[in-house]
Amino acid sequence: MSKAKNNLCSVLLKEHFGEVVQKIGTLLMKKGSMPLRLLIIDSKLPLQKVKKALCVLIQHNLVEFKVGSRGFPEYTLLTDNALLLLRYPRYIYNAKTLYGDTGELIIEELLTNGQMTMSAVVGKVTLRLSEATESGVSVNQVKDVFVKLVETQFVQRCSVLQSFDAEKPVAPTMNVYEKEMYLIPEIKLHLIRKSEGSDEPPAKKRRVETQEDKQPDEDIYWRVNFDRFHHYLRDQALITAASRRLGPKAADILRTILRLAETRSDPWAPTTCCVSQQEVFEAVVKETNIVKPEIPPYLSVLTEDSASLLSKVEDRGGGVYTVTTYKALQQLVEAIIMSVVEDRFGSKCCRIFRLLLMKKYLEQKQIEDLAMIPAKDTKEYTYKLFQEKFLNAHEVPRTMDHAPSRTFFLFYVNISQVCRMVVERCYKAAHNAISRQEWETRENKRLLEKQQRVEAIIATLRENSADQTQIDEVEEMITPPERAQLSHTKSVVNKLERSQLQLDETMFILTLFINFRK
Amino acid sequence: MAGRGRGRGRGMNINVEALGFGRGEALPAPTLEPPPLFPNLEFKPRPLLSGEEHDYILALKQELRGTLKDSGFYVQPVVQKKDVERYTDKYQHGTLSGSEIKFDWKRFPDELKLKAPKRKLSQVGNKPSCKKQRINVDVNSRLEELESLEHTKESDEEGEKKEEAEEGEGEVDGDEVIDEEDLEEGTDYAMSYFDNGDNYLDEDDDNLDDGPTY
Repeated sequence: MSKAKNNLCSVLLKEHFGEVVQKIGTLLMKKGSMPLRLLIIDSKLPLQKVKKALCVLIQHNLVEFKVGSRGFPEYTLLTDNALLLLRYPRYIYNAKTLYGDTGELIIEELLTNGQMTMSAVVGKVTLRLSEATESGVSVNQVKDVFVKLVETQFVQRCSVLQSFDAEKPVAPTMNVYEKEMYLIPEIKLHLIRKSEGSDEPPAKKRRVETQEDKQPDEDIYWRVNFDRFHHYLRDQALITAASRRLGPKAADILRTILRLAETRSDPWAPTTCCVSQQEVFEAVVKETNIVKPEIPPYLSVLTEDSASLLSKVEDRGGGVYTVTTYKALQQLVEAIIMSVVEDRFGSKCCRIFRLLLMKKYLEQKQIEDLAMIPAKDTKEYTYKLFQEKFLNAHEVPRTMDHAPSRTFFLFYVNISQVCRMVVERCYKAAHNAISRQEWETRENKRLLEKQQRVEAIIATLRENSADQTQIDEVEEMITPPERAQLSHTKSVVNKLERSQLQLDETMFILTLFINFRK
Repeated sequence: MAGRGRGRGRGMNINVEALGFGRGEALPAPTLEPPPLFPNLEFKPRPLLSGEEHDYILALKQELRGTLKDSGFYVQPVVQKKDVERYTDKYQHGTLSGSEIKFDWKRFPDELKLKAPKRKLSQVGNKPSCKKQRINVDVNSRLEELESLEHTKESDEEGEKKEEAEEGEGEVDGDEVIDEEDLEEGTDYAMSYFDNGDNYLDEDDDNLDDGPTY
């Protein structure tokens, strides 16, 4: 656990769940798994707050518990899940592109509540959709979208309670059953429909509740399957790469091939499973409007391109192709690092860097010759890159005594090391952005609250159909310099948030590559 | 880089030409302080990506943050009590605490179960009222006893505490003769101390008892 990563997690927890949860989370990160009593002593917070913070974290799949060696349950923070908090808006957007507004709302509900039963999700989403649109959406439609999400594995079941023995355990043991992960339970739709329309006071409902009124899926909780979203995002990255380099039609072909292969192969294998040319022809002609004779040239271009997106494994049956995800990812990572070097050090440094990526090991003199940069500048740039740890030096001694004047110093790039270093920088940058955003909101808290109140007043006035003069009077409560200040703050905060989202995109590809190697 | 420094001290073991410096050229100045915290950028960085997709995701992010803040999942920080309770506190800190979240306690360890606040209040409320009732009963019975004693003998009615009442009971017979003229209801002062001036004209006749008047 690096310091930058821990700081980023802690700041993300504070932004989403408050200071108490941040304190508990930071303690858990520092000290590993801890039982409840130690947490209370170390955090010096009241018991109720600590309990509530832990409950919130467990509900959102950020903390897991298990009975430790001494018989008390011990809690550990899942730092990787905490980092994903930054990516939640992207998941919601992807659900929208794939499944429309209903999908978007389902994923949003699941993300804000951590774990929910299917009936609860369907009920809430139907309610929200019927409030938002005039023609409501029927419960059946919402349920269908939910089922589709489960079938494509974007939503999965949470771990299930194991049945208790005679002695009640201190903490429930949870198991994850692979087979049951994606089974749809029965729910009673008519109950959801009834609860939408009725205005019964809740007290009455409690008394009347019988076995019939309860949903049969009460104990089955669902959560978002982050892995599947990552898989989807990775494929999107490859497809955009193809479209940028080779055009939209190549991207379409790649997308079809990926879709054919995704159900049949392990998503995290270095290459997808093989797809024969015939299948490709059929699928592409069916799904896109590319004509059959156009396809083979695109396939050959994709295979021979240096981005190494596609590779031809055999010639059987006209050709058998696989998408080489690992190599493609490596190319993406190299492109990211090259753009970092270019923007940080200059295009000449970037030239040296690219040279070393291509040629692996080069001596100082060879770099000078190949890069066509004057000697003094080459030395300056090479050593600057070396100092910032983008390059490594490998010593090859000529003599037994390793005299520096008689050894070769070969410079090379160690991609995984550089990748990790850039990820650390991203963590630090994201942490800085979030801290600065908090500071800006705190500095202007009074003004922001004032604006909120004014907007609330205007909204109520509009509802009561007041005069335009009254509304103008209320709006004048905020003076022009205050307005200028407010708009400046807003633009700064927007910029910082955008930068956080962009950093998250970079972090995603880089961490994907690092984890792939394992 | 380390070799460069050592080479300067001990004489040139390393081939200086290889480093790119001629013999006569000056070495770069030594660094005397840590690098600045916010170094100046040479060029303005590239603008952030923008577009419909990014704007929408930004809006989603802000909405998500707002939803989580208002929901019951946002644990309110521990508010330190200020020295004096101010009137505006009610309006500044009294924002929505968010809807109560119902956790499914079967999925959590036993020790984390939060007690519902309603039950807590009712428990706290019950105890003082019971005690009060008990106290009231005791006081009532005591008062009745004392009243009955009053009717029989003149005694203090100040004694809500049992000890004083008992002492009063025991001492009443002995002190009755002495205290009659001095003690009266509700006052601590002996009555003979107060001279209300009725005897003023009478005193002119006989000055022997009173001392010198000033």
